[in-house]
Amino acid sequence: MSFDKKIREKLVNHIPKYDSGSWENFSKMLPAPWYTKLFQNSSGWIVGGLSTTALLFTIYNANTKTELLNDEITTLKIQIENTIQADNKIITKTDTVYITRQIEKPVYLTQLAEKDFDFESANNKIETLTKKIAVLNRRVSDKTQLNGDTISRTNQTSEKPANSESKIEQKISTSRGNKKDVKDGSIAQHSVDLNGIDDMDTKNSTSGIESKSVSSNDSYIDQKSRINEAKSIEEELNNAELPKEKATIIPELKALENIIAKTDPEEPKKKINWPKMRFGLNSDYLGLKVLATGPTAEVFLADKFSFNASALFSGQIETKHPFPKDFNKKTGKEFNQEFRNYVDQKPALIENITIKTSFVKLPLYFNYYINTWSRFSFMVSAGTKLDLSVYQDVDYFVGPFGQQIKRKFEAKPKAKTFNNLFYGMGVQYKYKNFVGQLTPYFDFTFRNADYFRPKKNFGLNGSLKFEFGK
Amino acid sequence: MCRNKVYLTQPKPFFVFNRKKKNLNLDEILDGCLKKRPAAQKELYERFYGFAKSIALRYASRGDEVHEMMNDGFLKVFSKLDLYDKGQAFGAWFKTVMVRTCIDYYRKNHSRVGMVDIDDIHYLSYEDHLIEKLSAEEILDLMKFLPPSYKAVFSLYIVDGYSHAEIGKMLAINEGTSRSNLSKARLKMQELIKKYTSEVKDYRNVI
Repeated sequence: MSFDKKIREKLVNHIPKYDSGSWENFSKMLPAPWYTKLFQNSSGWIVGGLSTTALLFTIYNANTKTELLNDEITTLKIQIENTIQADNKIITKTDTVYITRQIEKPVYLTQLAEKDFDFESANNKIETLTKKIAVLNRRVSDKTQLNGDTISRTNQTSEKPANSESKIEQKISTSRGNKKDVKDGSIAQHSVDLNGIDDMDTKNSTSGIESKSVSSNDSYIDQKSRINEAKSIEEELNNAELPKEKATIIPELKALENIIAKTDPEEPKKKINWPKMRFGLNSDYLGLKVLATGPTAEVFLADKFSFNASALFSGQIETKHPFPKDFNKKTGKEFNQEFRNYVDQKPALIENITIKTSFVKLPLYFNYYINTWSRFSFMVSAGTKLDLSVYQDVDYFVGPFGQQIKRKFEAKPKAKTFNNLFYGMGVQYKYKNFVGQLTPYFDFTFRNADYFRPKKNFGLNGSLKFEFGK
Repeated sequence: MCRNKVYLTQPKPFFVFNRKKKNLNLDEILDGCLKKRPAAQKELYERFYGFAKSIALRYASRGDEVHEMMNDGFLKVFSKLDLYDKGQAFGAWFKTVMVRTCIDYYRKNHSRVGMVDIDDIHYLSYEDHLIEKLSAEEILDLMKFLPPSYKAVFSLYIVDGYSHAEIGKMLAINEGTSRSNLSKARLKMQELIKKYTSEVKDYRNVI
């Protein structure tokens, strides 16, 4: 076997063992997934966005729960009211016999809704009346038969009761035929007819009395007592008038309808109970060095406790460095390295570096209010100011002396999102829905951000807001 | 083209670990790597670590270069995995990528390193049986004494099976230079082996 083959065999078959920890070292070199890159590049915006979304979701969730609770409370209240009404109804209607009977009427709600009348019972009563009248007439006719003279004299008039009876029957038949005709008028007419009959009866009986008075005094007294009896029957019949009953029923039915209308399970109107919120403008004198301003929103989580979020857009903070070594002295960084993506790496004389820094902050903090007797109240605040974005306008002169040219670019250094906490105590003035707040605060920085390092750890926050909600 | 690709189609199982995790087959691992799943990438790295290191050891001059070559190679494998044709053996594709990465590294860092003059090599009589006494590690250690340009040609031609034409293209040298370098490298290796074995023999005799 030749030298080459032996070497190849030896080397190809040689597979070194895996060194533990190699992957851990290598994996750091792998390109990060898109979500990691996204988070690294815009962590500030993501944290801010997520915080705001979480806040909005919490508010929405709390509102939904409150709405549901309110709905339940409303439903329960309605149920309680209905129960009370139903109880009251029973108690009040047990006072009279009629009302007690009418309570059973809701079973026939459909009949009531159609505003129909119970004609069957009315007809029954009319039939009873007819029978009674017939009995009465028969009595009268018997009387007339007793006195034959009277019969002959009153031959013409004796036909009238029969006619009147037939009239009544005719009325009944018409009332049966057309139930709707049986109303106040017809019943009244009916009673008139009855009166007419009675008048005639009375006349007949009077004529009978006259004839009897000729024959015997006893028979006269007997007849008179019967006439009185007939009159009492008539009165009894008159008392049992149907229209009166109907007049009593209808208002009761209307009252029942009203109750039914009230107890209908209509859905109560949904009412969104937004929490107390304030929107306005916020200004911050950061480190008593630069003024930042932007919109603000405050949501009350409890009566005196609120969460505040706003966006602060700062003005430009200008720093000057005559030479790169001055930049290095101040920041501890190499100018060329710090801005290697923008500055030419070839050695050249760089002078008069001017850096204008501006940034976007997202203050997130909680407020607790201590009310006073006046429109003023004290407030205690605590939270953080997240750095969302930082922008740096850099310009410098480069080139040999006498031939220098100005170069300018905008750099976007990575923002240190979470780098501070602040605590403040201030005062609030409230007039109607307008609120003004002024809060001096102490800024505790636990991570130094190169782009903004104020000498003082104090700041002043002021805001003007308009209040919405309850 | 490679003369001896057949035995490189699939690397041998490099290690036997008693793992509790699910044993994925190569296709699943490759699919996972295409989807940039860290678990699959780790699995592929661990499986082909030894194979990649054996290639890097042949081209690297120093220990730290081995890791740099391997890292570059694996990065290239993960980034260019979508170019891999599944109809071909993955081992062969992996080897090609690793070898080319090592050559790129050599061209970047050692291409300007001066050549050893042929006159500097001392011709010694060589006996074939000497090589059998050496292990792969010992041979690799001896190869480190070769100048990078010789070592590259030596590895490409003898171990990886590339032709002089291919080597010339890869290293941006003439085919004749490649032949010359190989010849010198072979002589140098023989000399080193002989010297090494004699030293070992003397050492053993002393003990």
